[in-house]
Amino acid sequence: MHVARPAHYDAARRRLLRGIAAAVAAISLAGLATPALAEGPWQRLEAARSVLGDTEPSTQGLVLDLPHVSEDGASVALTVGFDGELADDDHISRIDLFATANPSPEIATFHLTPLSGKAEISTRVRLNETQQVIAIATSHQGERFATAREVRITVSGCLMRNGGDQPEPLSNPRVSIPSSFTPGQPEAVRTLINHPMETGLREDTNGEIVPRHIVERFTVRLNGSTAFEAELHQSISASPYLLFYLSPEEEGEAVFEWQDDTGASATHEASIKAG
Amino acid sequence: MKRVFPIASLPLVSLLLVGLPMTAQAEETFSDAQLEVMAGSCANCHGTEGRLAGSVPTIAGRPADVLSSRLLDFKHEENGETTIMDRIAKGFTDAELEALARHFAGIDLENDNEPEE
Amino acid sequence: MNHRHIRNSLTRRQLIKGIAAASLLPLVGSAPFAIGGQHAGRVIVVGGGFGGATAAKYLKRANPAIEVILVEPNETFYTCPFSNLHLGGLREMDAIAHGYNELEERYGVRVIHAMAEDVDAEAHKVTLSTGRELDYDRLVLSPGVDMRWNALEGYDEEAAEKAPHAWKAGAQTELLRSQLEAMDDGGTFVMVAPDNPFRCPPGPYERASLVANYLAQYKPKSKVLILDAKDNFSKQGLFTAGWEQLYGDRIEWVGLSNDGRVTRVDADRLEVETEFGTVHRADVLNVIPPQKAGWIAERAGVTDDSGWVPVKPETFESRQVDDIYVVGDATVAAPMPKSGFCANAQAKVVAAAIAASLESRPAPEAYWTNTCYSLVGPEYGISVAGVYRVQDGVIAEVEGAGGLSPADASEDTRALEAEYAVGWYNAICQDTWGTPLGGRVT
Repeated sequence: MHVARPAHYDAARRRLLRGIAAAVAAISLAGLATPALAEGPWQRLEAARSVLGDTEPSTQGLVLDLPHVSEDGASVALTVGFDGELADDDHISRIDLFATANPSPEIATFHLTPLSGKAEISTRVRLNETQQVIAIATSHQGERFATAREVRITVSGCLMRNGGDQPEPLSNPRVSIPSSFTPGQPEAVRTLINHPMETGLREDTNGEIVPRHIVERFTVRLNGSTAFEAELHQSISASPYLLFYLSPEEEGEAVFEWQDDTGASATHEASIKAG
Repeated sequence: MKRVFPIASLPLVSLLLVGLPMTAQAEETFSDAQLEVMAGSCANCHGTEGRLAGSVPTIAGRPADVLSSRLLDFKHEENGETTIMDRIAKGFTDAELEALARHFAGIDLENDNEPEE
Repeated sequence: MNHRHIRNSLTRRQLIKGIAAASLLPLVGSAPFAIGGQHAGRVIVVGGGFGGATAAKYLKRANPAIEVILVEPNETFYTCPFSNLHLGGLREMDAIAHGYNELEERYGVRVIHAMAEDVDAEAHKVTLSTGRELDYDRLVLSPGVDMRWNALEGYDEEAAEKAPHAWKAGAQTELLRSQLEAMDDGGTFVMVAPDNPFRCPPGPYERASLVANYLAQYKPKSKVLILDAKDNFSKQGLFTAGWEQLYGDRIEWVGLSNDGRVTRVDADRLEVETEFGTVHRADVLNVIPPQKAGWIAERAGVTDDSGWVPVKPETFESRQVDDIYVVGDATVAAPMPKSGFCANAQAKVVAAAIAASLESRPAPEAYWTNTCYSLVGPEYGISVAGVYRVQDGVIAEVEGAGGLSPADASEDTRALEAEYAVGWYNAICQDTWGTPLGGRVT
């Protein structure tokens, strides 16, 4: 079954490609011999620096797509993707996301493998206030790439919170995955699960802090091998949504597992054909 | 020689003393163009220049002190009567509300045929 | 500025005012604005809705000597606000119809019923669908929104004739109404609601309310299903409580995180498919697709990659092109919502800014208020208000002001707000176009 990509992410993908083109053009115009540019907000964020280590990242190739303005900081659509140059036997193995002005800056860490096929992920994040969002990509061979985008968050009175029912944790796992794959052709896979993603910073109506309760880990296994994995933090919006790519080589079983910080988990299985 | 205030300035001084309000905020004057913009959104419920009558009351030509006390009440009092004006009045300073009151009080109800400046 | 010979039907009073404004000599020749060699300037306004018509009128109020040309294809303008009442069988189309007579006759605005097809910002020219080119000193664009066709797979202009959006009032409103009237009892009215930003945040939910009200009376076995690309919507708590109170379980809302986002529309079969593959069949299908600024904005070069128009907050002049001002739904004016009320308020700031700019004096400080009234039922009104100022270089809500109707309001309060909603509609239409076409102010 071919599922149409949500229009929002199509637009995001077009923006991504335009952004890549613009970035490439900008760099060529600048006449830089090497793509390395050290300066950026990632230097000022300790959490980001610890991922970078001593390396100065390249700013060419990694693109972060976010709206310029969002009226609802609780759920901001984000797409991060790499379309730059890598050695033939190299691949992006890790992407980290940070929100510089959130109470806790780590948003998520994604682990990719050759079974991912394409280094592009979409999700929805919580942004506390206007700020820079940083993405850092690490390749299998240790190359590092970084980029940042500023998002203005306005609190629109029109979007006052419902204050209604919190979703049942780990309920209703949903996966949209093509039933068959062509080898060498990565396809988008969408996943969703209900979960309050309670930050541990919120007070209930009695003034008591509602304890932290989040989905911490999401794993995709193809015939037993991990193909894609996500470490999630409290800046991922409630009911985590993840769109990523898979490029299976052989037919078999895909198992999707969500684990939250109480140790509870939910799974979803799908049969896939490849070839 | 001891400095003596020129007699001519005395009335001015007394005017200044009389003119100072008890609160810290002096009466602000806004230009006509500024008032037009400040009062702009009022027309959306009260009609152009506040002249329209209907479920939402007319405000044009009403006495300034009545309008002013209503607006300040909307802003400061827990006024059970209003559905929306409290939420709006709280968005303006007292000086702005008073200026708006004078602005609408000054609309000449007799003369409604021309586009007013 | 170029000399312009303008044929225009001004009243004598306006001519005299124009002369008085220029405070000079008696009228000479056939160029009324070339008084003593002084030109107050020409402003073209594109779009005759809440934003454009207000801009035109208030420009004339600020300085009658300014030549104002309003370009609007329709001779009758149907408002989106209160069009939901037509859908709900509570008002006829003439009650939301407005004309341009008062702008022309009382304010001296020159109204041209044509489309603006192109803007040459450097040459300061607008090209009309008639082929005519008009120079401008300043340009105001109030083009509203256009639908992003094919943003939802299968939903294009043709599909909108079978599954109407009715997100521009007029023929689409009547089409959707007739479909609802023809629906069998027991059918489902399915509405597809878009992600932010879009025109009129509470609009879809007022529509669902008034459709439910109609169904409750005339087709009581029928239901309303809203498939939403969002998890939160405007006045959600108030709507949800009102729906339960008035309509029981007649309205079902499915949010984004419960697979509410529609990605594909089959307008022939009246079917929609969600992101995770759920297919819903409708008896009447109302698709409100993703939107963007009216297309003339892109032609004029004022849109950014989001498809909307970024503006300088103090004056609403385009951030990208000088001498073009943009108001209304087309702009990025968050946190101000995309509403007719805001378009009208923004237009007044623009009129003042342009009048000041033409006289080389600084623009007054900007003030905006917004109030969005929604009818959950004919006697059940709710509202959200906001007061806005420029703070630290961006538009911000004034803290402590604005807010929602109370959650626990009495029946009387809801009824009063419903009455004020009507009062608001009459007032804003009088302020924008003058009295409604029928002359009725009810």
